[in-house]
Order: sequence, then structure tokens, then C-alpha cells
Amino acid sequence: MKPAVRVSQLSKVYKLYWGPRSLFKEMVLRVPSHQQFWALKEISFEVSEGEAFGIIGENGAGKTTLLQILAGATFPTSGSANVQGKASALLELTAGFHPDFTGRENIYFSGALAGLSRSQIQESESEIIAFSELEEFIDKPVKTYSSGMHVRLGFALATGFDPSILVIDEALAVGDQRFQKKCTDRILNFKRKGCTILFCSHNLYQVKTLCERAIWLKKGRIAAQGVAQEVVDRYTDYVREDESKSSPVSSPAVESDRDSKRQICWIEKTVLSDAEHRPRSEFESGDPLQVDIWCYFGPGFEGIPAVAVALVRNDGVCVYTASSNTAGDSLRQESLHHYHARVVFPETPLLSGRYYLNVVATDQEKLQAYDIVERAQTFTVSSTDRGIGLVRLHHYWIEPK
Amino acid sequence: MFATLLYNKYLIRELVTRDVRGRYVGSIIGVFWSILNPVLQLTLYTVVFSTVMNMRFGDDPSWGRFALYLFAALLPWMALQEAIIRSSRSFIENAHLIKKLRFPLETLPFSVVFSSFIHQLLGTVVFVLVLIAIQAFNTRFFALVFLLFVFQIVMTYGLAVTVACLNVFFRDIAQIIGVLFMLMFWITPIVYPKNRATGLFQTLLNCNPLTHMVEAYRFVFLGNPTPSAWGVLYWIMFSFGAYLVGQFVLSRTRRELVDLL
Repeated sequence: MKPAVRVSQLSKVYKLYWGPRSLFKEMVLRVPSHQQFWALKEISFEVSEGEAFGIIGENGAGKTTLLQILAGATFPTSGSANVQGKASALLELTAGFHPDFTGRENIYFSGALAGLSRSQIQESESEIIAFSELEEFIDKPVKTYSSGMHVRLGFALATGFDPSILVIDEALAVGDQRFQKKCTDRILNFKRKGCTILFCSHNLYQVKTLCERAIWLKKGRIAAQGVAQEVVDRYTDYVREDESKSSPVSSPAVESDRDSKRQICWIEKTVLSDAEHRPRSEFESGDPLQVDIWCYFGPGFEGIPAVAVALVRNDGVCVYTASSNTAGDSLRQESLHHYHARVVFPETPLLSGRYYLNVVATDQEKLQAYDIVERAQTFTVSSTDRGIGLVRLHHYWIEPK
Repeated sequence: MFATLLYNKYLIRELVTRDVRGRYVGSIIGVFWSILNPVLQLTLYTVVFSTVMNMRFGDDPSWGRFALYLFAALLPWMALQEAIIRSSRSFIENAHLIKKLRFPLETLPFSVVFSSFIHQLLGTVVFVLVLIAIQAFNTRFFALVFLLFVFQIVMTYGLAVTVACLNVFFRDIAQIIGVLFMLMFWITPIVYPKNRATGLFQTLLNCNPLTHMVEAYRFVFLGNPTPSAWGVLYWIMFSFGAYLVGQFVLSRTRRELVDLL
């Protein structure tokens, strides 16, 4: 089957001029005087017919530029982008509206912009009006519309002319909840009818559920490409990590530091392994997890040695903290000052993502942390569960009597 | 280029109605402004030039005759000026459309040219009615007016596309155009007859293709003065030249234009 969209080695460079004078210098005197900005760099992907394809990424990652190129509004610097059939761009729903003209007149104008003839617009006219629920207001100037009415007409228009490729950019949050439902239903309908959908959104849950495949754009390059769920998971991982990076994290104590602080206890080593004691860093959701901790409680230490292991998702959300002395005195004294602790999580129903372990050396009161090692071990969990949250809670649905 | 325009004829129709209606929406006498405006301008020029400055066309001493000669030239001139000045900003004003869609750029200046032409047409109808009423209508060459319309539109369109493209790169173009038109108004025989000019100024008038345009219009409406055939040919060549320049400029700048909006 022929792909509906084929993008190969697509790059887009914007020339940034410092002002009209530098533009003049370059255009007329042929002296290069611009900075280059790579909005897209060597992007390649294909979307087959009838597929829903997600495009995710942070603001300024190049999503809009990519959609502009696909819509044919701007041209690539190198590479190519081929789109089969009529692409209706939901880029900016209300871009073409003239405030002084009526809703109906604006329907005709937007249709003309989409390259349709008068009779083609007439065919879809009543359906568009019905979908937008603006029957009473359709012959009133658009400037009298509320913002909700505005976007309702916009959405009805963008989906009203039966496109073979639907390009949706941040369009689902339209109107009130009831109308939003109507919009998502319509998009699902398009999908069922075999319409190719390019879906560009910050609502990752919608991308996950609607799309089969996705790409993640990061600073103009493809950071990940593949099954939508995996791409979204990797992207959310990245975003979480980025967020936690911006908040200060105390770095693990180093040897020299310990002397100066006259530290009396510290964590020597942490090993993460599976049920068979094999060290691992990749787990399936639900797998057993085992953590071994070796630590040193020096001569200055008084009390009962204890350790705690915190399971933390990479955005800093703590899933659970297990402390040794709540489970009984389970530290094994290997020599005078050296202890070995082992904690087993027989079942870890974590949702997919990246996690790490924080390990703490403490005593039975657990009031003082003698040593904290953040990110002592990092690991990833993969899951086929599409659920949202932190862990999969055991549950079942029953029919109420 | 013409194929693009033909293909988008419905879009152009919508753009033109939007432009014409958008201008008068909310006003009480609406489209009558487009007749009132040139009539007021005509009256003003007639008063100033014929009665105050005693300017005359031919050997007819009446100020009414002056008004007719003036109006025949003023109609195409005003349409040209309006079209060029307004289309110089047409890409910038419609940036929101151009950046979102695969937009046939040539339709924007064309629709401005066409909507100015509609106003010229309205003025022409009024003019012809007046000519008939005072029995000064010359039917012999009147059919040629449609040919003049075609050449005028071709020229205006070519110039309009050129300035629309260039103004995206250098916004100074719109300002320069305004100054240029002010200058051109006086080196085109509109408020004075061409034969008044002598020496170097006459050469200057002859070099200006618009001189021959207004002379041709005067001839088809009023039957005289007979324009120079070479001059009219020069104007026709100029109008196609302008068209080709417009086409060249658009094809050269089209790719970069969108990104600068």
C-alpha cells in the first residue's frame, strides 16, 4: 500500500536576520548576514493510509513547522514531504474568519480557501452548521459569537469537507465538555472510516489511545519513533527527568567529603537484582525486585543499624519507602562495622517508566539519616498497561446489584 | 500564472466579495461611497484647475469639457493607484492565511486589482450615462475600451504582484510606492493636456507609459485627441512586460516569502 504521507530527509532552516538592513545587505549586496536556525533536521517517517499518527514534543521542537510543510504552506530546505490526497489543516481553526461577515459567509470563504468550488461547499454546508450547533446564529456576524461558538464553527469547518488526511493541532480541547466529546467522537469516526490522521497534541493520553504510531521531535530531530505508547512513555520519562533536574538534587557523598564531615556511617554498595539474584536494570511490570545494600556503621555509631530503600520515579515522585527495622532486625553483621541488608519486593506492579532507588543509612528511630545515596540504582519498567498513574492497583469490576 | 488564477476562480470571487463588501460593511450608503468618492475628487480637481487655474483641454473654453477630459483619465489612474498601494500590503495583511495553508499567492494581489477594477467599472458606467445625457458620447471607438481594460488589468496585476512580493522583504517599498504615485500623478497628463508640455518635459511625458494609457482612454470615450499609435503600442508592451516581471519576481521569492511573514 502506498503511504499517505512520506517524509524523507526533511530539513528546514530558517534564516534569522537581525533587521531589515541585514536583509537588504544579503539580498542586494549578496553579503551573507543571517543566523541559521534548524527547525527540522533530517526527519524521515511514513504514515500509511488509514493510520493515526502522533507527533509529540516540547514547544519549539518543530511540530508546527512540520505541519506547515505537510500542509504545503512553507517549503522544506532540503529533503521531501509527499502528501497523498487532500490534507485539511486544523492548524489554526479560526484563522480565516472575517469578524464582520456571518458564519455562513465564513463557511464559504473557508471552503474557498480549502480549494473547493461553490457546489462542493453547498453539499457540506448544512452538515457543518448542524455539527457546530449554530443554526440560530449562522447568519449573524462572527464578531458577535462567543469564543466557544468560534471554535465550534472552526472545528466543524476543518472536519466538514471530508478530508482524506486530517491534520489536528491542539484542537481537541474545543468548547464545553459535551462538545469535546462530540469532537473526539468525530475524530474516532474519521479513523474508523479509514481517514489518515496526523495528530499533534500535548495531551499525551489522547495520543496514546488514538494513535498507532508516533514520533517524538526534540529540537528538530526525531528523538524516538515507533509504537505510539512506547514513544509517549519515553517522552514522558524525558520530561519528568528534565523537571526533576531543574530542582536541586543533593549529590551523593564522596569519600573526601565524608572525612571532612566526620561521617560515621555510609552506604558502601547497592545492588539491584531479580528473584534469581542476577543484577538487572530492566524489569517487566509485576516482576520481583531484590535490593542488596552493604553499609558501614563506624565506631561512633550508637544504636541499632537500619537502612531504608526508597523507590522513586524519575520525576521525583516517591512510590514507597521500605525501612529495615519495621520488618524486624534483618541486617546481617558481616564484620565488626560492616552490615549487609537485603530487601525483596515480591511484586512490583509499577507502570512503565524509569525509576531509581534512594538508599539511606539510619538507625531504629529513623530520625537521622547518616548517609543518603540518591539514584543508587536506576532501572526501567516496561508495561503493556495503558493505565495512568504510578502503579497498577489490583482491581475488578462487578455489576452492582 | 493565469492557470492558477483560473483554477482558483471561486477563491478569487470570495476574496473580491470579501474585499468589496468588507470595505462598506457597517456603513449606511455602502457601495455608493465608491461612486461618491471619485465624483467628489472630480469636482475638486475641476474647480481648482479649470476655474481657479484656468486650465483647458483643446479649444473648448467651458469648464464642463475640462471635467470630461479629466474624468476619462482619472478613472483608470485611480484604479491603478488604489490597486498598487493596497496590494503592496496584501501578503502582510493575510499572513495568517498564507502561513497556515497551501495558499495560491497570486490570488491575493489579483483580487485587490479586481476589486479596484470593479470600482472603476462603476465609475465608468456613471461617466457613460453622463456622456449620453449631455449628448457627448462617442460610440465610434467605445468598443475598444474593453481592450484597454484588459491591458490595464494585465499591467496593474504585474506591478501589484511585484510590489506585494518585494514589500514582504523590504517594508519600505509600500512607502516608496506612495511617494512614487504622488510624483507620477504630475508627470502623467491627467489634470493638463499632453500638448501643453514642451521640450524636456514632453520627452518625459512620452517616456511615461501611463501617459499613453490615459490618452487612449480619452480617445475611446471622447473621440479626441488622437493618441500616438507608437505610444499606445509602447504602453501595451509595458503592460505585458510588467506582467512578466511580476511572474518572475513571484517565482523567485515564493519559497522564501512565507518564512519572512
